[in-house]
Order: sequence, then structure tokens, then C-alpha cells
Amino acid sequence: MPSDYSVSELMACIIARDLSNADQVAFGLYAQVGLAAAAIAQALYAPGLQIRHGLRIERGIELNPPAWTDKKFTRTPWLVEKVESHDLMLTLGNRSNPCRFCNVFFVGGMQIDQYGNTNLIGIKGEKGKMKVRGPGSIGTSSIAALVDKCYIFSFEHSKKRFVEKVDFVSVVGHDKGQGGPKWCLTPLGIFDFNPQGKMRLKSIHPGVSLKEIVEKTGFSIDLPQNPPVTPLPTKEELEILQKIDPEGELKALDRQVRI
Amino acid sequence: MPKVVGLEEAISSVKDGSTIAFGGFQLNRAPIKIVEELIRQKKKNLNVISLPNPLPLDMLIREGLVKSAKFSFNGFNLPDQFVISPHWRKAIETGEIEWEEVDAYAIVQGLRAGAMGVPFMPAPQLEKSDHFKFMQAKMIKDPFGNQEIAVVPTIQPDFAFIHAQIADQKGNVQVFDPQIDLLLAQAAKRVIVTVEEILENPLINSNLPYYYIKYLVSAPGGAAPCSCFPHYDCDWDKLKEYLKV
Repeated sequence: MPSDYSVSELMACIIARDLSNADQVAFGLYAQVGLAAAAIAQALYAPGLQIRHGLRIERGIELNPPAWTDKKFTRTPWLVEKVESHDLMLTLGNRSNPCRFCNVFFVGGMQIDQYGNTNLIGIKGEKGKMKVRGPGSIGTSSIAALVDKCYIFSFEHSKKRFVEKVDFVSVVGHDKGQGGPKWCLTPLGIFDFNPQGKMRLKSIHPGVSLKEIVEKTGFSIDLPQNPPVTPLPTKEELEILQKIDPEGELKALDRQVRI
Repeated sequence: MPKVVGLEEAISSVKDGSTIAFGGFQLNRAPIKIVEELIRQKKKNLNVISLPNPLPLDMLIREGLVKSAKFSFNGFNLPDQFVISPHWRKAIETGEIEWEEVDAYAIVQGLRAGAMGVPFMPAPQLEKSDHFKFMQAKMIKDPFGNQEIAVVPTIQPDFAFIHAQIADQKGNVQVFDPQIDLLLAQAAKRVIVTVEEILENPLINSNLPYYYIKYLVSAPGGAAPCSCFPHYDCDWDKLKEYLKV
């Protein structure tokens, strides 16, 4: 892969192109990629898009200072339009409420399975114990069930992470009869879900081989014969990224150790 | 009217075995001075509801004071890394504490039921995830329709501990950035509030009025090393020292 962009920047650009003016985008606590995607979309593709950072609605297009630097909950109050109280989320978020809390959401996972179930709870141990305790799911289970577009992502594409069946279900996949994530984004490619609800390669990142995807995935993945190559970030997108992320935090994400 | 007292007197009213919950959200407005006093007075067998609010629960577990925990998430979102709440993690992996894993909105719905004094509240959209297996939750038939709906039991904590920015002499409190604090105060049997400052002049736009509050304590810096906007930000060095990262 060329060195002038990172996997997380590529992910942000791909999601940005899939967002629209009608979208209200929300994130969890640790989803810089989603925030960058929303900021790129606001700048280039969807000026009317509404960014809700956690429980806040951000005011206008916010390119600088970067939105996710050190002061996550206490930074730049003049850019915050409204702080929502946590308990309002269901009131606003239920599908019969015209306000909606958000319709786009992003979720990671310690494990992701073939139907797009994600696990933030933990890894099973012996005798009902938990071998590895995960951070927990916060409210991702209920938010994901309320949104129209849920993107799941992982910075590590390995057999350990991409498993046939997750040990615990945090956000539900396509095998539970209530929909499921739209795409899964990884360092190797973009995946969607086939009519049977199973993960399918949508596009392959430059420099990645089908063999590598097969070798690093813990289940049989639906692979088209000649998958398209993921379109690279455009010059305009890279310019916006430079503005919203002058410190290169997105690039640094690729190097961080994940839960 | 709430009694304006010192921290020691306020916390001495907490009995061992109480069910407690902390206000604030993540690393903002965690009532750490209250946690330190609970530890100093060695309150035992506490049942903690975390909203999410990682530091209070982790500190109490570290001191061996927690019997059970109900939570949706316990992680520290530091500027340059993410750390899973360490003592909580260990306590669960080794089976030291009882625990209930829930979706945050199930806690919200339980608190709503608690505030309204009703025994349960619907909490839809949760039945397909594995939270449903961990949680105290049941499916019931909607008595007005045909669908099944998930319900969660009422939550009425014995104590809500909240740190806020300002109060007036009468005990009216203003939380500048409430997340779940106000609902928590409505649901809890007793509310103890620490504030950065008790003002001379009356507050006309209090969002946590005096009649909710049992004890009010003046405690500048009461959330440190967590943040209390706009008074101070997180002390990241202290937090990292605690987390040993």
C-alpha cells in the first residue's frame, strides 16, 4: 500500500463516500475513523450531515482543531450545539420519534463473526468463567438496533479476531432476524453481507491478495471471482484529512495495540 | 432541605451492603472524593451500578469493597490509548465479584422505572444480544398488542453520588453537563452531592433541586483526577499512574 495514507484513513474515506445529507452520525468512545469519515463527508459530499459525537451534537463543519484530540468530553464548548443526556437517547432514538438520535453508527469488536455479530464482552474460559474480560458494549447493542447503517471495523484482520462464532454477542449480526451491519472494514478489504447474511468481499485493498484474506479469516468467506480494488483516497480527501487531523492521529491508530 | 455537611458525616450515613451508583459519565465528573471517603471508612459489600463510569468502580474493587457490579462498559479512554479497567477486569477473570452485564439503556430504563415507582420498564431491542442472558430481564406479552417485549426490573439505588459544578445556600444544584445524573437522582433513595462551589446567590436555573438531595458537601476538586468542566480537565498523568500504563 502506498505510504501517503494509512488503513484507518482509507476506511474513513470509504465510509465518507457512503454518507449523505440526511445522515446523523454518532460514534462510540473510540471511533476516530467514524468521526473522520463524517468530517470528510461534511466537507466534500454531505454538508447537511449532522455529527453527534457521543452524546453531543457538533456545531457546523469542524475541521480544526481535530475533533478527537485530548479533550474528548471537555473540549471546545463553543463548538458544541447540545449535550444530550444519556437517558434521552432512547426517547430520541426510537424509530417512531422524528428526531432520531442517529441513523449511522460504528462498532468495533474483540471478535467479529461470519454474520457480523461483534463481541466486546469477553473471551470464554473454562467452567463458565471469562478468560479475557473485554471492556463491555456500553449501549452499542441498542443503538445498532436502532440505526439504518451500522459499520463494523477492525484494525486487525486475523483468525483470532475473525471467528466462525463470537463467544458473546454484543451487536447482533445478520443471523438473528433483525438486520445487521452494512459493511465490515478491515486492513485487507471492505466486506458486505450476501443474501444469506454471510460476510462477502466487496472490494480488496491495493496490494492485498485473496489468499491472504482466506488465510487470515477464521471462517469461509464469500469471495467473488474478480473483486474490485478499493478506490484510494482522493487528493481532495487527503487534503481534508490533513486539516482535520494535522497530528496524524489516524495514522497512529494503525500502530496502536488493540483490545 | 439538604444538610450541608462535611464529607465524613455525609458518607457515614452509607451502610455496608448498600446499592450505590455514581453520576458523571466516563471520566467526566466522577465523584472521586466520595469514593476516597467510602474507602477510608471501609464501606463493605457494596453493590455498584456503573453508568459507565470506570474509575469509581475500579477503585472500590481494588480495595476489596465490592460484592457485585452492574455495568455496560468499563474502559479508560486516554488521549493516546485505551485501557480496560484493570482491577475490574482481574476481579471478573478470577471470579472475585458477582456481576451483571447490561446494555446502558437497560440501566436507563431500570432507573426510569425506579424514578416512577413502577416495578419494571420495557427495554426493547435487547433480546437478540447476549446481554439478555446476563441481565435480569424477561420477555412479556404486550398486554395491549400481540408482540413480545423485553422488560427490565426497577432500579432504586440506596445512594446516588453526584459531583456537580455549583450549588446555592439552599442546596439547589446545577449540573452543567448532565448525562444520566438527573434521572439517577430521581431514582435513588438518597442523594449525596459534592460541588466545586456553593454560591452566595440563589440559583434560579438549578436542574437538580434541593428536594432531591439528602447531603450537600462543598468539595473543590471533587472529581480529580477526572475532569469537571469547566473547572479542570482530567489529570492524565495521575490516571496513567493509577492504571500503571
